Amino acid sequence: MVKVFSFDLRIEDPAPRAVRARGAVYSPSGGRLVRVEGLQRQFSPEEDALDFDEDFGATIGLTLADVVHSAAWSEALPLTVAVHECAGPCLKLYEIVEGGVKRRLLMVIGGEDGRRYVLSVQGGASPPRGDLQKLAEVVGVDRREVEKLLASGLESP
Amino acid sequence: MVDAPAQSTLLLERVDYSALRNLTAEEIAEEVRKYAKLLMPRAGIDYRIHLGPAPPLREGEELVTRTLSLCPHCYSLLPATVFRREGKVYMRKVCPEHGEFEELYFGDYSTYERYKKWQRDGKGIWTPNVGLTALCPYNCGLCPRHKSHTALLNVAVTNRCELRCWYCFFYAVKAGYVYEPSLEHIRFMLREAKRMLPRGAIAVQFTGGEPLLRDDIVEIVRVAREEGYEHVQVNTEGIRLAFDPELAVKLRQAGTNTVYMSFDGVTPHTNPKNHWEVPYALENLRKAGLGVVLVPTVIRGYNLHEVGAIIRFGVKHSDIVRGVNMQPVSIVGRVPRKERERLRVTIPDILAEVERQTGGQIRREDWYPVPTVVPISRFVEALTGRPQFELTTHFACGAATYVFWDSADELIPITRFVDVEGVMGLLDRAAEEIRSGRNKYVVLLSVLAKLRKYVDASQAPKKFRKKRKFLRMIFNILLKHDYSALGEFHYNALFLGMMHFMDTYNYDVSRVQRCDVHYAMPDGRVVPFCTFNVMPELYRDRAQKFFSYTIEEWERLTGKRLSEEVYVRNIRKLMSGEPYRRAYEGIADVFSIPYEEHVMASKRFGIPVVE
Repeated sequence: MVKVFSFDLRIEDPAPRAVRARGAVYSPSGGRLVRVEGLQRQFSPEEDALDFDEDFGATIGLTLADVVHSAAWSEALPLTVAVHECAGPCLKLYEIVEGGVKRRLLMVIGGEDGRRYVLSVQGGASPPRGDLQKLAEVVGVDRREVEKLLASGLESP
Repeated sequence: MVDAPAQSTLLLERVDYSALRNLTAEEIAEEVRKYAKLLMPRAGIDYRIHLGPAPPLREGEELVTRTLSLCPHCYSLLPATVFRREGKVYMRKVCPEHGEFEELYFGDYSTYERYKKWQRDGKGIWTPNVGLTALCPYNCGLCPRHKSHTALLNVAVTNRCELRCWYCFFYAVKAGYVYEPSLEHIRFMLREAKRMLPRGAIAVQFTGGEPLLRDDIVEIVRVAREEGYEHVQVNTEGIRLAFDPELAVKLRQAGTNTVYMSFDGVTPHTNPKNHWEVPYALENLRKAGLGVVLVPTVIRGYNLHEVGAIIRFGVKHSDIVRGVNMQPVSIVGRVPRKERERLRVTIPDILAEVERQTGGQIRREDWYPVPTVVPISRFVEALTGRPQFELTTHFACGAATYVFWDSADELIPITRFVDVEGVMGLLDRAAEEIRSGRNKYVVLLSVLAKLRKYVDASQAPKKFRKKRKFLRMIFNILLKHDYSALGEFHYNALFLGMMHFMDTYNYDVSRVQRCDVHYAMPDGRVVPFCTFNVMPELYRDRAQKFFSYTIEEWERLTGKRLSEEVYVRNIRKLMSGEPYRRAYEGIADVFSIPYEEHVMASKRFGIPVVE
């Protein structure tokens, strides 16, 4: 089960932040990366908080404790979760906008070594080819597939 | 070498530490790391998660924010509402099992808002010591979600203490075991904190128990220096230093920079812990040339009325006192609300008292929250291209200022002649310019030229007016950006600081995620101060007990008797010495207090007296 979180957060305390995140999951099929449809539901702190921290805690420094601060203006936590079923390794792509700066997070989950690989790409920067190669190997596609995904972003089918 | 790790800490409470004590740091690393997982807090056993809606506001309350906190009874994670009422900031939370808790969070809302503007977050931890297995704060640490690198690493070197303070349950005799990591084990802990990225620890404080009870404390300081620590301080009640002049010299020679000494007030009533010994400790530190920071724990109704006198005491001894770092009380254990209200004091409350007790010489606006200085780090980082040491702790955790003087009765806070906000704004803009590609040398020259605008030399203390000494000092910090430049600044001022460590009543997970005062754990973890000490059963005590000797083992190994390590005070002798008279002269009329009251104060506190 792979979760993808979407949110538009505005936090004033203790430091101001405005972060928008959207994501999708892709799995390999016939040598290509194909988008996997997920099942959307409301965020449940008990079930989802740790996964949320795992996706954003180390990458963009955003944790459940920060999200709670944004809830000062509403009752429910302003997060949605899409749950995806993937049989093997898959790739999660997030597009995040904060302070006008766009960042993409590529996460590969479910590889044979059980490790989680994360690549953070800021703005229009090109990530090191070796890193892309590693992600591609773990997920089982050609490196150019990952490059293509990165170039077209969440528009990718 | 030692027993294999069991499946649960419930099955294995302690390793055979005798088997570890002679291992090298490398061997220790191999042995102890495997225990870190076992020693982590256990969901459902040590804590629960109750994340329902945060408590609603009531009439007369305005929302400030919402956060996560703890149940003071069962450590469960709870949503909390932080709100404003009658100019103060409070926190409220409800545990489904233990009911509602309301606590003063920050004594003045306008100061809260002013401080919030200075919040800057750190770069996180790039080399976490533990994986993500639980929500914060049950996953320490440091875990991948932690936001600040270690600014000060604490290493507890013993839980032995020669005092028997009535409120303490931590020392070896009460705990029933002796925690005393070997020299090589300490080396391992220092290395674990040093290797972290983006910034490893460079400042360490040895603490306890009473660290000076260790016969090898000088050697421990030396090890920290060998491991590359640039700042070494020893946290002590100062009693050993009062009676052993050689110890101060040896500590200094081994590389100690500062002694961090408990000092709760200027009278026996407010400072029964070490009132009589402090003058002698200062005398010996003075002879050794070893600087000291006085550390008062401030409690309402106990010593809050003496904060001004404590500062004056610091100024009087400023040849050796480098700073006064006040710690608003952290209320441990289960304390009824009425009692908490009687004791509770927060940073703004102390600022107001300092202002009142110094006759307005140090005003509350003269203090800034800790992250105010981050622009200096960010500017140096932009210049050098290397991640810098930065103080990105939560704005509600601490505040500081510097004071100078021409004569002891006229204190001049730095804000009287430096436009702090102007300087930090200048550095922020300059860092941004460098980051966006402007030539860094051009930016640096422009900063140096513009700095003059923000320093009003005519208002500076006389010693800084000559040859623009103060400006030169700031230039050195920015140009050399090294420790000696900072040292020069400190040697010409008295640092005044506050650090409000939390307790379960005012606990804020947002604060602990930003904590930069950490503890090295014997299993290689690095844990924020306010998880280590606020949930001792989950962190401090569990880990220390695990790597401890039984009292019998320790006594057999050392040939000492723990029960004999009790300090007995000779008040008459201490009061008759010249250093005692000199130390308090002009600060407090200690000789007008009857001798019997001196004795009573000491005994009530738990320290016996030779009569």
